[in-house]
Amino acid sequence: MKKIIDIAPLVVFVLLVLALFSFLQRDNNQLNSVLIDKNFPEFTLTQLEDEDIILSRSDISHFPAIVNVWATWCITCRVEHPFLLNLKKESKIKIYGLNYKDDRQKALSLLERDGNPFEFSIYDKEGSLAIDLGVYGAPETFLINSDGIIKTRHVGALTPEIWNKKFVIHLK
Amino acid sequence: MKSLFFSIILAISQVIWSVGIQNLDVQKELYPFDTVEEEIRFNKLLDDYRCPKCQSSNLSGSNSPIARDLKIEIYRLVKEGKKDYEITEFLTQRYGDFILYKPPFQPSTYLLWIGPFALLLIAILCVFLVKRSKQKKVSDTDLRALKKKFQSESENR
Amino acid sequence: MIPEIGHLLLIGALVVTFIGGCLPIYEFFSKKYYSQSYVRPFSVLTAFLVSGSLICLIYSFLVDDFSVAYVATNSNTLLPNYYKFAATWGAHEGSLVLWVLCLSLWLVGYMFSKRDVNDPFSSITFAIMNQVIFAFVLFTLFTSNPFERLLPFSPLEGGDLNPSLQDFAFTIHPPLLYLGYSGLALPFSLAIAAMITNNIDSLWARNARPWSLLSCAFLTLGIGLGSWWAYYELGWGGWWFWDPVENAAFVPWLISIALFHSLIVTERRGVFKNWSLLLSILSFAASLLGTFLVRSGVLTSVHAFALDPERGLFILGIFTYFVFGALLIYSLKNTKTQSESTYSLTSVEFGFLLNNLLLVVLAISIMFGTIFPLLYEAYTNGDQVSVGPPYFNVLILPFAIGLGFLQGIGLFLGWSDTKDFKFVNRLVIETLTMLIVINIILYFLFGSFNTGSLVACLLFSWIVSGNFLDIVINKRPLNKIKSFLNFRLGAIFAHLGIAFLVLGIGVVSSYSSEKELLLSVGESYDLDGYVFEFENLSSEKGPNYIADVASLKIQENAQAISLSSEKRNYLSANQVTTEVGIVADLFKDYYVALGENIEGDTWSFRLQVKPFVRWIWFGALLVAIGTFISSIKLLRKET
Repeated sequence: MKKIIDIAPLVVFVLLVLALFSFLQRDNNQLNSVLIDKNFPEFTLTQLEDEDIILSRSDISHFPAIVNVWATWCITCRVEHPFLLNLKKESKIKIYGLNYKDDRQKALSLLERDGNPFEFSIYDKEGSLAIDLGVYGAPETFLINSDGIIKTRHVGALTPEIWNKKFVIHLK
Repeated sequence: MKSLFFSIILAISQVIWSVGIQNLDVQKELYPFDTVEEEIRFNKLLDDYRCPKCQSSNLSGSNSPIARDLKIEIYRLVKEGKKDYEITEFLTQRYGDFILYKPPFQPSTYLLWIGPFALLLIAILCVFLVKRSKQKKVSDTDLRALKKKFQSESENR
Repeated sequence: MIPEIGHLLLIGALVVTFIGGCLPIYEFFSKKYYSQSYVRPFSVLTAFLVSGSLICLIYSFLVDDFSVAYVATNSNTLLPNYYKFAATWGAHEGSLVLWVLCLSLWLVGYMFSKRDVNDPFSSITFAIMNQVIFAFVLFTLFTSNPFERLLPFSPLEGGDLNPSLQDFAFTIHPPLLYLGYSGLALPFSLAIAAMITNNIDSLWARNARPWSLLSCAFLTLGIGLGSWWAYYELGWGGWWFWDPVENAAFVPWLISIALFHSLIVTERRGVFKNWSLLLSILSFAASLLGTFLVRSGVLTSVHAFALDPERGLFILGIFTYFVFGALLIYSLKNTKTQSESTYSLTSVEFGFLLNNLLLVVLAISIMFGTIFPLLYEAYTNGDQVSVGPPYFNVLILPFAIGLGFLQGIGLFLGWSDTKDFKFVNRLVIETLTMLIVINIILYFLFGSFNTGSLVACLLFSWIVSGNFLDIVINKRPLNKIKSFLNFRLGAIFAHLGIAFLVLGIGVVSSYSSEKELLLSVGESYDLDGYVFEFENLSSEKGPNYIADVASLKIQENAQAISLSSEKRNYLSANQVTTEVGIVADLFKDYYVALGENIEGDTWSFRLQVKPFVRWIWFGALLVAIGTFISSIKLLRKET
């Protein structure tokens, strides 16, 4: 009995170190989306390019697709812009934009200047769809597979490495 | 002492003074409410939800844009008369349990919620058990002799 | 040239501490006793080498040597000299050098506090301390060298010290906190030395006590200052957030309190020896674990240092070496240290035991809650959960009540057994009287009665009565009161400090008022009877920032108080900070944080009235003073 009590702290300690070691292996510093394996949320918003066009979930109709949350005030979005343009050129995947808390004119002139990778952009001035999507900062990218189900979400700029690691596996 | 007395007098006059005046400044508030209860609820909710962007701050302590948007959203929900659990559900359906600074009580968090108190109980139980087993070992005469010794010592301390 | 000298001095310290860490151990086990007179000179040498190294680093900051990578990222030419000086420990690398310096100062302190150090016990203590210093110097040199150069392409201008760290409290907060953290290495070393040389006795406990008290005092000051800093710097009026970094300091603090209480019993009565040993190990382990959590990047936090998994691995190595080693020695040591004393359920011994259990279980629970999100994510394969203030506030309440209860009666209990309990009636009466008086005062101050603070008021009254009644009830003759006070002074201060702390927390969390609003110049707002008027807005230029300064006037009955809050834009990194305006008196703080410019001369504000918030830090200060008094008294009596 006496011996057990003496050794107990050592055992607890070893377990603790193993746990701490496993924490170091963790490489995920992102907030995981709770919308994974769910349908894209319902919404009613206007199109960025034409404020008379009312969009809803059924307008995102070509799968697989990605929905990219972007804005003109977002600096990282500029960084990933070339990647999106390239993706549009090289891949059959449809890219939809979600213009997040932005000014319509500014957003349109930016797309004119830098090129437009999007089929169309949803104009979310108030950020209501963004909240329904659990967005907490731009850029964010959601992948919708051929069944219309959200399969992954990436926060921050897309790069070829991230694309291959997080997105391609869901496209087979 | 004098200043304490003075401030008490001031406080009394203050209470009397403020009762008579209706607060007419509501329109200046960022989050105006009709009732104090709603406002208390709102503030409590902001304290208990975590800002998803800044990682280590609640909504009320954060200036990030998403925290502000969520504040406005929660304000809307409170004004609509939604219950706390409905607001919590609204947020967790979008941001997950991560957004709750108070983790929900469910099987996966039983250890977190019950663990500390169970540990304390076990520890206290152990102490009593060890104490009893020890006391049996010491014979009465020993005990008396020891007590005498300690009493004289503690009087000298 | 100077940075290279600093680097060399640090390498010198590495060599010296390596020898110091091995030689005494070799001597002890080979039973070849050379003269141990090297113990003191070596300690002093290490301290000199490390402080020399730190001075070199400070010098590099003062002369804006941006070829040093650490200086380039954490300072710039615009930074005032005072903050350049403090920027030395503003980030990971430099703060490690400071940490090592603290360790070496503790070693010098111990070696010179004793009249004679030529014994195996002292030399093993010396060796373990040297090993700790060695490990941290090695860590600094290999993973976080502050003297690394950016050559030949050194920048002409540096980055900046994080603006929120450009502040007085911050400049002294790290040194105090690190003194506390690293001070716990000393009781740890003493415990190992006691186990190795088989000296687990009252003398060991007597040796360890002042140092555990002193570490606790520094931790108290460090934590208190950190809390005060967060209160006025972060701009939302919080003073404690249960942030992982705060918990990393709070947990060792709790354990150090448990430790010095337990050591009292071990010294006086020869019981709880194993427990005291375990606590000595545990307190340093908590300090190392805190370091790991803060510096490895596994937990994201506002105050966390830059992330680097290699560093995490290294600290985990240090943590494992020392704590595993210590626990191994603990489990193997001669277990014949039977307690030769007995005590009843109504004795000080038992009171201390309960106090220890509460403190340690609380500390373990807080640590568990801190790492729980990580465990949860690993266990559930990616689900994320947060554990924050609402959880910890629920957790701590029963423990606080238990500890407060013990504090009130603890001073009346006798060793081994308590003869009579006549004090209880009196204590209850005094407590209730005080409780009623306090609540009447609170009622008059705030115009309402709030049940939220009732528990806090009750604990306050209980602890305060317990402290003072002890003097009165024992009917000591007047001339004895002085010696009695002298005997108990530290404890009375510290316990009263806790009482004030508890009262402050209770009142500020129940009676605060707060509003977010928009004001244009000339407008005013009535917050619970205090009228805040936005008088004017002006621009100001500081040494390295420009600021919008809003001046406000607060009408409190007949008096007018003015204060100002700023929005600062730090030029070098284009970072915006809020400087809150605070006017404080004994009973409340007015707290104004300037928000954003909405349009024209309309700005958003956050107005707060925070009653009794000062009492929290006043209480912490009293705790620190009390523990200082106790430790200094013990050190002066040192033979």
